Amino acid sequence: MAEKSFRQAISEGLRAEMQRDDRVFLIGTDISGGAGCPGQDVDAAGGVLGITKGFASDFGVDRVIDTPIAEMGYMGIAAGAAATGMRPVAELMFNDFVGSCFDVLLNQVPKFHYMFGGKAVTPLTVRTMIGAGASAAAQHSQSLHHIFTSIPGLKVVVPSNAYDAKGLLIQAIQDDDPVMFMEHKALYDLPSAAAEVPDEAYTIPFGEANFLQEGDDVTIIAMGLMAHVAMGAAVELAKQGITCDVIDPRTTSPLDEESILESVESTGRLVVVDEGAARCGFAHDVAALVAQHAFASLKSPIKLVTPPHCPTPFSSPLEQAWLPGGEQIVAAALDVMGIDAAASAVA
Amino acid sequence: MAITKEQALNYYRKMRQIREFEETIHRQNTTGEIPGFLHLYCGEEANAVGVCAHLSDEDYIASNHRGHGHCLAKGSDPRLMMMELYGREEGLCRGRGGSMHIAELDKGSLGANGIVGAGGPLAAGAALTQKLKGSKNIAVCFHGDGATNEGYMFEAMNMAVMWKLPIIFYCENNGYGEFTGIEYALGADSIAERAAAFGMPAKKINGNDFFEVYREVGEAVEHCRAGQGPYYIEAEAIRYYGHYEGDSQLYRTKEELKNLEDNDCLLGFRKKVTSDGLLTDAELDAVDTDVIEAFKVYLDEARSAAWPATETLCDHVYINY
Amino acid sequence: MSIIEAITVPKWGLTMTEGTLTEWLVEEGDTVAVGDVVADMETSKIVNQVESSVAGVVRRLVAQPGETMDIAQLLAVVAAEDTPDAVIDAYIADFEPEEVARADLLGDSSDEETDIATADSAAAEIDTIPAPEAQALGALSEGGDDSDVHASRYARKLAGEYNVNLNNVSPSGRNSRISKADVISAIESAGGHVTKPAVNRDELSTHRSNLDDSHIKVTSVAARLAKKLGINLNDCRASGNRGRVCKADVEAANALLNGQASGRTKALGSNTTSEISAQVDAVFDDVPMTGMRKTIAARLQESKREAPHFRLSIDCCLDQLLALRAQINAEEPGVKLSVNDFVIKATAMALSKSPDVNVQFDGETIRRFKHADVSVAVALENGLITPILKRAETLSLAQVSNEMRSLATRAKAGTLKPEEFIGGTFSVSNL
Repeated sequence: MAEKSFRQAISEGLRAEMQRDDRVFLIGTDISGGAGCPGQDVDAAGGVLGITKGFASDFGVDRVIDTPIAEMGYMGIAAGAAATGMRPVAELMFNDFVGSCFDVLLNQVPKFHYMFGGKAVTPLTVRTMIGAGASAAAQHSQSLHHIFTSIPGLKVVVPSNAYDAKGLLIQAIQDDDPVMFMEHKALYDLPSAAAEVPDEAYTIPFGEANFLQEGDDVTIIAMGLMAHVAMGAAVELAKQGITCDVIDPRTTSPLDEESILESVESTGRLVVVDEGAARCGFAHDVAALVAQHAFASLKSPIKLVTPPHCPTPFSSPLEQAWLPGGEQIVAAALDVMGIDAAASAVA
Repeated sequence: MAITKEQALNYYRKMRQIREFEETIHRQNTTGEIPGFLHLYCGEEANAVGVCAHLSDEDYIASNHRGHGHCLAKGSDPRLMMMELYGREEGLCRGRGGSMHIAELDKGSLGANGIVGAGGPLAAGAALTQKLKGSKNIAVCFHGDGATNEGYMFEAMNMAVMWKLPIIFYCENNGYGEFTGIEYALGADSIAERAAAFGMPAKKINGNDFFEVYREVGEAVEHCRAGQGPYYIEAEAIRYYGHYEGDSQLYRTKEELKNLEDNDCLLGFRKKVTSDGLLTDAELDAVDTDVIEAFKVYLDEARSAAWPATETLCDHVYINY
Repeated sequence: MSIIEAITVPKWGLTMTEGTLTEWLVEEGDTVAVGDVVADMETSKIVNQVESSVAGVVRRLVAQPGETMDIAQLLAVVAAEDTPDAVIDAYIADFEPEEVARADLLGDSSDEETDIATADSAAAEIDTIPAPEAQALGALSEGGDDSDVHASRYARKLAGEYNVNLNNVSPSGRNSRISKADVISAIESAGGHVTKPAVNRDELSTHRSNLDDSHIKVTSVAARLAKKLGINLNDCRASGNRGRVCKADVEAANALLNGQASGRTKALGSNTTSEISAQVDAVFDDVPMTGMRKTIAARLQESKREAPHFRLSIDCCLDQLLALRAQINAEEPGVKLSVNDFVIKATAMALSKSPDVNVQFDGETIRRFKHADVSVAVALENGLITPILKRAETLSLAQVSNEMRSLATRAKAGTLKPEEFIGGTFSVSNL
């Protein structure tokens, strides 16, 4: 098995499903690139990140469909195709652009199966980029998984590493329910997100968390890029004799409530790290879950580490201050341990 | 495109069914028995029936919130639709959808839709499926004049032209988007002209005349099945009742409402087939009586049918969660 | 090779999980026989004597006085005189305590003490695992390799701790995954019991945030007060206007965290900051709790939480009792009855007469005891203990009195045996 990047793993997952099932097609803006241009008119881009580079040549432009910049239209078309027997993978370049096609992902796709009495099947997969850290500012940096998580009918995947990304993406495409597959843009080439990834296809079931590390003192929940930040914090905490369960839920809908509760029942302390919302977000959902079902196990109040209630800024120092960092996670963990961070730093 | 006697009887029966369905719920709605919003199709029957006369179960339609007529014309069972409007377990969608979300994928119906314009891309997606599969089936997007101003429709129409999708955009222009007149809401001179600017054939027809609808749509369907891309039809239509049940329609004049019957599609149909000697008044009357009696039964059954069990509340949110 | 044997922390009574070595009574090099007393050890309520379970020369005293150890941990090493030190060292390094809890739970131990009964509510003489259930538990451990069975992380961990083969557990979770609850349910339906770690609520109420609170919106009065009282604003609610922490919020946090009535802050109003800090510092003093104090607190909390409380108050005229007491004490040499002795005797007689009162309830069954084992509260310097007058209904007043005196004396000396204070059926207190 070779070590592969997050980017490569996603590309492999897409290719595997394109080869396996001819109902699978890709649709989105510039996923091939060059159409209607005087230069190279196919595969000029392969998406803004080159993930689907070569796909149009290999599978034909009928299955790698470049769209105009019309998210509402092509997302709706992907939905209609999904409801009539195809298995489209639509790419919404940045999840921030959901504002331009939210009706499809709010009122149409998630509700067909329910509204139509269980008779409609809409196996749409939406790949979309999330995440801050690239000075992409307020309209290209958000992590909106909490919004999709709150919509019944949608499944939501937030992978943190190459191995998970491939297995979860293949599962998403094979899944009969609509799935939001949310890729943090910092992970594509992050060394710690690279992993040993089998060449062949495999699936990872939804709703099963991954224990990135096991420990006794604190449960830390983190996914996407935050899983890596949390692991860094866990190493720091271990130096102070504090061991953590670091849990990557991998999917926020369905959520592996069981693993989270079982861990908190064991450690008695919870820190939830999330790059999403400071209000009504995923972190708050997990906190509420634990407060409802594992309150008796808690030894200290739950701590949440999220960005502030503030749009993502452009300027780097501001953006770094906005992003949840390892130091905040360490401070939160020390806090739930009842350890004075300042004192322990001196010691 | 000649119509046989049998076809004519069928089309008349379908139109009468739609009319009776709507009139029945119009009456029953005042009792408070039917929950939720109702948007009635009375007056526009010739469009649904004239379009769907050319479609098989393998062809798709996307409908809108004024969708009962489209669903009935596409073959959904009026008895099960009545159950659905009453929110019963036996309803077409197990009481989960109601008036605005009646769908039946097996019959090629992508469903009524509560969001204005949403059917545009959905139908285009169904058309894309046909294109990718290499089938001769087509899709029809029923929409109103209100939806023609939605970005949803513009994006779908553009891509349908780009990719030569087998889709008919069928606009029922009844002159009102809710309580606002098309004279005000339409920037262009006509809906069909604006559609033509997208690069597809676009025609304006009389949607009150079943035979004109039947003929024009027949040509459009041939165009689509031949792989020549999308086709736009703007049909002038009549909306007898308000935008929804309970709409006092202060924005319409008494004269307009009084004169609607002059263009009634059912009366027009009767006049035409009897004068052509295709059908007799007696034959048509028999259909009327038959349909009216049937709906009395549908209504009774729907009113006494079982409610969905609350334990099944969360059925069908996911296929597998 | 010569035999090396261990002296380990013994398990006294049902609830003992750890003990503190108070004093070694032997030295390295001493020869001990089986049954010789080698050390004093304090558990949650008593000081007891550790007897050697082996014979030989004490080669190494591993545990240090003052050390608190789990049961089955290594206290000392006994071996032949000529066993090389290096071998002893290796033995100590490799020593692994027997897993007492697991063996007990699965019923494959002949030890009649089990961890299944909770607290001191269960009488030691009642075996709560009938044999067939013990077999059922044993059967849970059987089966082939379960490493591929789909189970959550903690389900697998728990199954390991209780020696449960996951092939024997039905999954209830998503994707047919076995959850921790599934393992617990399998163990319990086979007649076992899984102990849940108790949370010390005190930790919660005194939890203080150390996080930076400079960004928290606060009224200026509240900010000043919080600074004076040493309250972190993260610990305050923000009930004030526009989500600000207000004065009342700080006072409430102070009351919770510092045990201060909120009115107290008013009295501090005119003092300077330094005076206030001094006063605040002097307001409380953290006294570490002894094992006994912790146990008393836990038991009383548990009792308060678990049992429905009701009170009956009756006024009794004791004239005749006092007269009888005076008479007996005057007439019988060597007897000195207290009023308490009469109360104990009367209680025992009443329990015999009304057996429905002499019961315990474990949530599922009512256990009716045959004898009146009366626990009597005895005050100690550091707490209290409740030695038991066993079968008190069979004792004469004089026997009650003498036995009680003996128990109280030994209680104060800390030399009660566990069975002498665990397992009473009814309590009397005049403390």
